[in-house]
Amino acid sequence: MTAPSRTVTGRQASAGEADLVGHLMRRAAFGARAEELEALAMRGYEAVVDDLVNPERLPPLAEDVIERFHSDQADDESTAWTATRWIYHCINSSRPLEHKMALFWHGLFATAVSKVTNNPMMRDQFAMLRDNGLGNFRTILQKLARDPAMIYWLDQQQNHSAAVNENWGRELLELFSMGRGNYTEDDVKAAARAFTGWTIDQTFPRYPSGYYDARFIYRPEDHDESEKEFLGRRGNFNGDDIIDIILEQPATARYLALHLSKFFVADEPENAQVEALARILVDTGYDIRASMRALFLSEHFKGARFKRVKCPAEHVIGTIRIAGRYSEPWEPGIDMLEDVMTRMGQQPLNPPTVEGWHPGREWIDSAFLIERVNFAAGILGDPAAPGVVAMARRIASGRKKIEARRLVEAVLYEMGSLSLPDAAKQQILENLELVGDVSCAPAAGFAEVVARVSRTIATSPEFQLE
Amino acid sequence: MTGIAERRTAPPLSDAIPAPRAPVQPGYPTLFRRGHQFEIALGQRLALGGFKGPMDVAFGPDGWLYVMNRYPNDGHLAGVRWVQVNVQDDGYEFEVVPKDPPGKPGSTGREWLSGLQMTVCDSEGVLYSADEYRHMVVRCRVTGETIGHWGDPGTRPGQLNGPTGMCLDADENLWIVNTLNHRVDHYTRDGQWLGGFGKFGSAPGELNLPWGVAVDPINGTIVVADWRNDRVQRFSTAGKHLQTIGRPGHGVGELHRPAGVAVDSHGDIYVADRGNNRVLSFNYRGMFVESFIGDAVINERGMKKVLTNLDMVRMRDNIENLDREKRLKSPGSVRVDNKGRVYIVDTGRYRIQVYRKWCKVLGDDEVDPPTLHVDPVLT
Repeated sequence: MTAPSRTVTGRQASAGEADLVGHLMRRAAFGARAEELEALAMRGYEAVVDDLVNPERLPPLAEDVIERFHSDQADDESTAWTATRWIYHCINSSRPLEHKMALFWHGLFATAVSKVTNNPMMRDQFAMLRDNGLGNFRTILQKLARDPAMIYWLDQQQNHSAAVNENWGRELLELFSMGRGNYTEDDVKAAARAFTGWTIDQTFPRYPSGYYDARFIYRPEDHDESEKEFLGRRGNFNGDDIIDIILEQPATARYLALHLSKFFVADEPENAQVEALARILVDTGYDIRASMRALFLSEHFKGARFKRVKCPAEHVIGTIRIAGRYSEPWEPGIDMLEDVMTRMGQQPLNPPTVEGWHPGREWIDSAFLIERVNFAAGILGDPAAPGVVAMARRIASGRKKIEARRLVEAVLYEMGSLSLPDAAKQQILENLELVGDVSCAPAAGFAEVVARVSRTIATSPEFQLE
Repeated sequence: MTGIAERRTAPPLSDAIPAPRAPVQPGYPTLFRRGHQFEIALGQRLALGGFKGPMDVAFGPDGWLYVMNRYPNDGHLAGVRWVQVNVQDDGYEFEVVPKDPPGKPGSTGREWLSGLQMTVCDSEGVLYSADEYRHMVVRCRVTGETIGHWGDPGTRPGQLNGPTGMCLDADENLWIVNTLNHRVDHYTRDGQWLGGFGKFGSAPGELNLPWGVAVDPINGTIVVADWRNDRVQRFSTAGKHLQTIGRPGHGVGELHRPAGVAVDSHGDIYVADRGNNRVLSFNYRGMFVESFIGDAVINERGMKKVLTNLDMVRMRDNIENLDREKRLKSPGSVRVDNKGRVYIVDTGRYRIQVYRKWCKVLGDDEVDPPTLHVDPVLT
């Protein structure tokens, strides 16, 4: 990676510091341009991590203004709108890890509106994941077990003492906490019986006045009070007892550590790194905030640059952040981004199954790749995009011309301290027929040149990674 | 101690807002108030000719109510339509979808309108709507015939930047809230700028993303919903700040993100207190009078829809508290007609809730001078 040619003010952050903070911001947030990275790097990597894992230190982004300028969404009927609100936060919030954690938990506890068919319930679940995402895993599971969308998604309202439905009990063990091979069918049945009576109240049908949220209720008369045997323990367990026992299992820490590692570290994480994170989870009593802090400060994490394929949400939001679009809530068009992600295979709030999305190289099939490339090239190829204008202004600052190869390196840096092999850089120069010196004068169309370079970078295979 | 003295020294209710104590103004009548009574709920969610994204209503000279619907841009129904509704019985006639806008022969309103906010209808049956995304005012007849649009986007005086609230004055000129310029501007119906006032801020007379606007029919003053300052302000037509109504909050008489505003023929002010899911009314002196939280029960059209699906009937039979269905959700606008009706655009619930004002205007010979009052009148 080429060192930054200059910083805006003050102490110059080293190339390594900007690189590392760039890596952190791509994983713990949704990326940042060099201008922001330099300011962060000046504070030091550890301080940046501390701010990310303690979002309450910074004020939340006001939501009233985005609501105001999309006042036609007042019916709260559309999950696309719930997703759009989240996207707006991901783009603009100073507390990005909250929103990244919500995406992680949403992928792990995959719940889809295709079955729930009630946006207020989906909205409330997503808000719960955001608000508790850095809390304790025990609390998260307890809230999840009481979440109306999850209850409906896994038929928990049909789980009666006289007629047990095992769906929630099974997925709690298999997909949400321990993973296959660590429990028996009898454990599934015992868990399901322990959650009998955990249900929701009846909500309104869609007509004539739209959706209403539902509320968790516990019906003691429908709870199985008999003794159960679960994971070697015996007793008259209720739902929270089941969660407590699950958290005592070593498999639970390994399972959660594996998923956190795949989402935040690498598509194929190293066993040693997963085991280390599992130990931290246990040692901290499943404190997610402390565990994420330790993860981001670990050498495993720091050394895992560009070892993940960006999921569509990361790709779309990261590209938008580079382009500097939708910083104002009244800018029309933000409500189309959810559809863009859907075409790339990731419709927020509507994962394909309870297993969630399959990450890694599965994001890159031929159809999805075309969508990804076309979207990024279109957004970053706009010379009027505020981010492109800002990049051009910074590169041109203090110089009248720049050598073509240096220009490519400068644009890579400005896009968030990105990296390309030398051969790829050479290919960009040849494709754009850039040779010798390039004038930095606005009148000579320098912003257009920067847009062409950034657009071409966006079409590279490396741009699909983070 | 006499009863009167006791009442005079009683502490104010803890949740009552301090009365602004504006002096009595000439022109406003003395009212004997009986309050408002719920009359009818118009419309339902888009089915059997219902609403989707209802933003505002306009009164046509033909006696019909025109409900402006702004569809969320979900890729299928993007666009705008007006629905003609009979106020008496929720009767539904037809949609007004503008066709053939200038320069785009053959296209329809769904393709060229996007961000319409508020709408008014003049005495000639022309609907005017502010497009907050395209920074212009669009015009069409109630018959659906497109007339055109005007507006110069920008931040200079007379230019439009996110126009939203809109009303007609006695001369049928338009007052338009220029939201992103934090101004209120005055135009002829064909777009000639006549003046305006306002600047960004939170001090008295300043505005922060204002939304609705209304003209007081008694004295022509301009009443503006100051959305992000959580208040309503009254101005002279020259822009002089005259009065602040309401204060931020969620309690009695307090406002949170007010949207539409209206003034009736008695000078009473109605505010769509959108963030609190209610409408508040104040008298001309700025004193809180009444709160509307919604009283709609399922109407004939809604019942027909529900009865087509027995699952929905069974669901409703298991709902413990039907009261939730009555309540307002994010009311975006409020308008009053000349018959004492208050129309609340219940945007989040696809309907218009209509109330009728019950009061008696007292003549001079029915009101004793203040010196003769035997009950305490706090002035």
